[in-house]
Amino acid sequence: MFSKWLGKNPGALARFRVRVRDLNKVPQADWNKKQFRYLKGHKQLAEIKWKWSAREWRGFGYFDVEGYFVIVMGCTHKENYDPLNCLDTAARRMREALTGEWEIKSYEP
Amino acid sequence: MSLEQLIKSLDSVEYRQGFVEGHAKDTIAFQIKQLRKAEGWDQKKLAEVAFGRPALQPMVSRYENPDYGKYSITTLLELAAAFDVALVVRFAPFSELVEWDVYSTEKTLRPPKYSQDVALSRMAACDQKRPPVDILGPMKLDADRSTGFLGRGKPTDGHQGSKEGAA
Repeated sequence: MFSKWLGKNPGALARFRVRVRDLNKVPQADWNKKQFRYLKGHKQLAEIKWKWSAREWRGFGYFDVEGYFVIVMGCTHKENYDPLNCLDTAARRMREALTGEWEIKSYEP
Repeated sequence: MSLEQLIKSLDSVEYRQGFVEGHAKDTIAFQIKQLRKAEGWDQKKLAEVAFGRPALQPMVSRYENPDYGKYSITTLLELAAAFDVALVVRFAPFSELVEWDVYSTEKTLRPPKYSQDVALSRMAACDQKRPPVDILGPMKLDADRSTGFLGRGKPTDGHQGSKEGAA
């Protein structure tokens, strides 16, 4: 789902690839809040952030037990989230993914 | 994404732009932070060493943000001098960037400073075993050409008889 959505925006996809690969090269303790942060009020839910074309792009997800980051939702942000309810949807999808209701596919940007 | 898929993605102009922008902005920001940490410096200390003013710490914080991207070459040179590493700013073929994308590691993000650059001494050792190469050759040729052009000597590289040489 996420890969399809991001695939429609090649520039954002390229920026995401570089961001993820760079994050992967350094210890998590060195990650900047501008790149990755846990969301307040949403246990476990975090977002990877990057910019492209004067917009902020977000990938919401969580770390599974093996340490993989499971992305459950993508959205953009410029004044408001687009889609507006993406945080709630991401939180719901995370709960559903944790209870095995979603098939998780491996994805490398 | 395989290397083949990555290369295919580069067919898209927008992907290429994002790829270049990502590497230009992210790499510098990540490198500044990793190099600073390797020195055991906080942002204030880097501001002091690089810019002579600890009060410029907020600037260092901005530079470590991979979405910032508004560095001047002067600033980058000051940071390179602070870390005692080289700075390479140039246009390059995509193949070179792909190589960096695929093969760079945490280690390559943190290049060794001059005093710890063992590759330099290795290069020097290799060079001693090779027959001498005149690395100034092309420059000398250019110098000869300009001498010929200015008419202060005989052109020696085939320029004799050309319009430039004749002038």
